[in-house]
This record gives sequence, C-alpha cells and structure tokens, in this order.
Amino acid sequence: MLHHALARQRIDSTLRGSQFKEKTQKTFLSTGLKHLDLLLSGGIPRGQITEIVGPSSSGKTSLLLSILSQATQRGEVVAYVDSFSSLDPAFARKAGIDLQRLLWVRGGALKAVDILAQAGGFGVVVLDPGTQGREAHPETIHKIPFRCWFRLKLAVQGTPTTLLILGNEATAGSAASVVISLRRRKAQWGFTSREVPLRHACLLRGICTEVELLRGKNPNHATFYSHF
Amino acid sequence: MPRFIAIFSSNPSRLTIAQRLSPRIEICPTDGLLLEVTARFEGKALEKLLQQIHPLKVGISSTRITAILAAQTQSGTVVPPGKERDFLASLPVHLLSLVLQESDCKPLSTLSQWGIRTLGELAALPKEELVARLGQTGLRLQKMARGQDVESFPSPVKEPHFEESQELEWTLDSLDSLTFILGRILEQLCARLRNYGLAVRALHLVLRLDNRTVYERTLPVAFPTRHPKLLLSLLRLDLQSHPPNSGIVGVSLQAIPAPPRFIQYSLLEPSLPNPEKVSHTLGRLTALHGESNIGSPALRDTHRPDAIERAPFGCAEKRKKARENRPADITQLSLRRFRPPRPTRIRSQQIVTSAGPWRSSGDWWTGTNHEWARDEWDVELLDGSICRIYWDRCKKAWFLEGIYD
Repeated sequence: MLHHALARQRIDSTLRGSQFKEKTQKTFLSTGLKHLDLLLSGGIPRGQITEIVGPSSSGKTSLLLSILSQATQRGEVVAYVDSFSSLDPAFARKAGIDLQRLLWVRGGALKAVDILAQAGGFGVVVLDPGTQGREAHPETIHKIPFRCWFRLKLAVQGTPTTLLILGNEATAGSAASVVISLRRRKAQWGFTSREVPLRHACLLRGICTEVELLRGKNPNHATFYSHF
Repeated sequence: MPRFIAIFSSNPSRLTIAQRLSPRIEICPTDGLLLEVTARFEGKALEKLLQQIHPLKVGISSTRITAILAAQTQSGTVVPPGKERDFLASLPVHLLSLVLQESDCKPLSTLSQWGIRTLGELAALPKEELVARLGQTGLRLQKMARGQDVESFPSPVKEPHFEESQELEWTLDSLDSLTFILGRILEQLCARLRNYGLAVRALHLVLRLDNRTVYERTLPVAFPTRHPKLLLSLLRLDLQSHPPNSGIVGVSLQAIPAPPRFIQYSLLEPSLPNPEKVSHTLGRLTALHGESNIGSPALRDTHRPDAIERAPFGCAEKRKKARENRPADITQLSLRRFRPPRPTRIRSQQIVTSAGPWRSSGDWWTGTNHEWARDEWDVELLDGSICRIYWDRCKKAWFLEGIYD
C-alpha cells in the first residue's frame, strides 16, 4: 500500500515537473517604473512568459526598452528577436541599454526564440513580431500553434530568463502568466495653436500611457510617461 | 603577473629546452634567452633548467632588465615582485651596456663623468633635469635603472601556423563523412593549440572539389575556444546552411589562434551565459538567419539617420555605469523604424497635430551619392498613431520613417 502510494507520488511529481523547480523562489525583474513594479507586485516575473500588448503608439516599445535597460544595467545579457528589424539602436542606447549586452536577431521569429530560450543564460528574451503597417503581421503571430507557446513556457520555466512578447493583442493564451495591456491616454505636445486649421505644435514631448494588468496577481491600473 | 627567466649558456640545445618550458621566448643581447612564465610555474621551470642545461647562468624577475642583470651578476637570484629597484640599486652603471646596443652606450660615459657610479644613483636623479641634459636616452636609461622594461626583445621562433590538411583517396559526397574527417583534424589542431596555450578565434576551411574548384569558408567563433566538439558542431551547422556544390577530394582546415578567454564569475553579479553555449547558439542562429542578421547593434559616428552596423556579440564583461535616475514613472520614448523607410502620401485631413520641420543634411562634402538632406516632422494621425515622416530633399518624396511607440 505504502509502496503504491510512493510510486504514485513519484509519477505525480514527474508529471508536474521536477521538485527543484517547484521550490524555486519567484524572482522579478524591475521595469524601471516604480508604479508599474508595484502593480506587478515587484516586477516582471522570471521564468515565465509576459505579454506586453497595445495598439500603435501606446508606449509598449518604450516600456520594453526600459525593462531591457534595467536588465543590462544589472549585468545581464538580453536577446531581442526582431522579425521586421524595427528596433532603433540609437533610442535603445538613450533608454540606457548597454548595446554590447544586447543580442539582436533580425528577421527571426519563434524558432530563434526557441533556440535562445533553450540556450539559457539570457536575462530577457524578447519576441517582437513587428508592425507592418499599424497592426501585428497576421501571418507571423496568429498562425503560431498554441502548443508552441507551451513549449516556450516549459523552456524558460525554472530559469532566470524572462520571455517577453510584444503585440497588438494577447496571443500566447494561458501560456503567458502576465499580460500587460497598454493604452495611450494622450500625446504630449509642446505647444499648440488652435487658430490654424491644422494644429501645429512646436515639439512632441512624449506619450502618457495607461497600464492595465489583464492577467496577473493584482489586476489594476497605473500610468507612466514616455519622454524624449 | 608574468615572470621572466633570463638564461645565459654555451649549451647548443638551450633553445630547444627553453621551448619545452614556455612558448614565449625572446633573444636578449649577449646571446641570452628570456622565457616568460607564470608565477606558479616559475619554481618548476628553474628546477628543470638547472637539471638540463650546463653550464648555466640564470636570473628570475618580473621585468626583463632585472632578470638579465641578475643572471649576469648573481646567477641563481630570484628577485621578488616589486623589489627590482632595490636589487639593481647597488649594481654599477656600466652593466647597462649588457642590454644596450653599442650606439646607445655613449651616455654611460657621460654619467661616469658626472660621478654616477651605481644604478641606484642614476634612478634617484631628477627626471626633468636628466631629460634636459641627455634627452629621451637619459629617460630610457633611468627607467632601466629603476627596473622598468622599456622594450621587448625579438622572438627567435616564428608565429606558429595551425593548419592541417588531408588528401582523400575517394570523393566524399555526404556531410556525415566529411564531419568524421573534420573531427579528427580538429582534435589534432586543438591539441597543438593547447600546447601553445591558445584557442581558436576563427576557422578557415578549404575544400578541394572534384570539379576542380575550391570551396572556402571562414567561420568566426564568438568566444575563443579549443573544444573540438563545439568547433565541429559549428562547422557542421555552417556547412549545412552553405553546402559545397560538388564532391570533396581534399580538406584543409586552418585555425586562427587567439589567447583563451577567462571569465571571473562573481557571487554578487548575475551569471553570464556559458561561452560554449553562446557560441553554439550563435552558430545555430547564424545558420538560420544569416551572419548579417545576428550580433549586437553598434552606432556609427555620424548624424545620418539610422546609421548602424553589426558588431559581434561577445557578452561584455565590464558593466557600464547606470544612467542618471529618471523620475519614478518616466521612461524614454522610442521609435519603431521601418527599414527601409516607406514611401508615403500625406493628406492634411489625416493629420491631427504636427511638429516640425527639423531640417538636416550631411555627406554633401563627399561628392558621391551618399549625400542626404531631409525635413522631419512628427505627426499624430486620426487613427491615433504618432509617426515620424520626412521629406527627402534629394529624392523629392515623402517617407514614413517610423512610429513612436
């Protein structure tokens, strides 16, 4: 009877994954934005998939660069899988990213992310399926089978790697443990004159973004600003 | 810190014996040899030299000059690191002629006329006044008197060439058979590199094909390594993505050497990826997406927009200083670029707000087609997106450069 119970327990633990992984303490990667870290109960969880979703000009790339900046400043190396080569390294450096610690994979997609997740040692792996026009490319992101996301989830589980997915809408389903939704509240222009039909400003100052946690421990709202 | 062993002997096999102990050997004046060894190996090397070379005058120090003078004056002396100046202080000045060319020995007689008898007295002279009287030669002599090296001596051995070739008796058509041969060649190359304390920075593969052509590939390695299995795996990935177009009748593989990289891990810093794993990962990614698409971004020193280049990814060991603290809820706005910029048509009804233009131009002084001139605008469109557009003054057209996000 006891032997049977032990055998059953062993099978259960095999199915659930190793005991070491269960006992691993949950760690977080700071976003560099205090209010958002509070909303996320400490930051972006490591060893899990996090999705950052929002329409164009909602501030998701700014948030992503802030997270990468925090990781590289801690001394970690990060990887950016950029399907349509949309990253601007000049803005990345302005955001504080150490470019020597950034592995930039241009034209890559899920296969490249899988290789990087299996390799281990990267603090953050980003999948940016790109914006062709103003929407995520349908052939890139929506044709990915659901099992692929679970494969990636298992690849990063129990490791210090955070897998971030950028997109217009959530695609990884239940494989993503946190989904951060961004919405632009307003664009901040330096000066506007209402007298002319085409409102002319002297300067684009930045974007004010509202953050909502669609999936996570503490569903709530926060706000941050992206400035030049 | 490296240690130098100076040996003087009439034994004709001294160079052969020295080469067994260290790959770094220099020939110093008066037919001596200087061996560069690590501090841990110093005692063992001295023991072996005393056993194998007779007669022998030997001196050990952290600098070349002190080791040579120690061997010539008090054979068997081991000068502890940092004590070079103290050791040299009591030696006569004319001993410097042992390490100088004949044409450089004239200032020694001048020093003798000044009453400078020992190296300690020369080392104590005021630097500026010595330079004023004897010029740069005086400064060089004083550095030597203080036990500092001013130059290295020439090496008697040529740079080793790490290349292995094999002619095949029959034509190879499959990658598996080639892998077997490359594996054996790599093991030989890595064993030779290990003897020299070197690793592989890049591999140059030359295959002679049965259609009388030559197939060449150069494969850079992300981190210098001498693991034959890893190198074989990288070669295999590269050959899978760029296979030769005909049967193979001859194989030649050259390893371009580099000093191995040692990483000092820290308990307090996040762990870096394993160099072997990174090399393998980069190899797989390169096979998948091409070499030009994998690496770290680097910015060119120019004002031209989007002037970037690819730098090899190497996991920088030194951390850069953290940027200045921004307020808690502010981050840097970023731009998602379209590469290449998209030709676009601007309708004023679509634009809600705009800012600009910012006029910029460059490279007009080169007189080539690289000249650029543009007027940039930031515009907010009706659908909510904020874009950067520009009027290209050379092409006379509007382009959409990117979206602020």
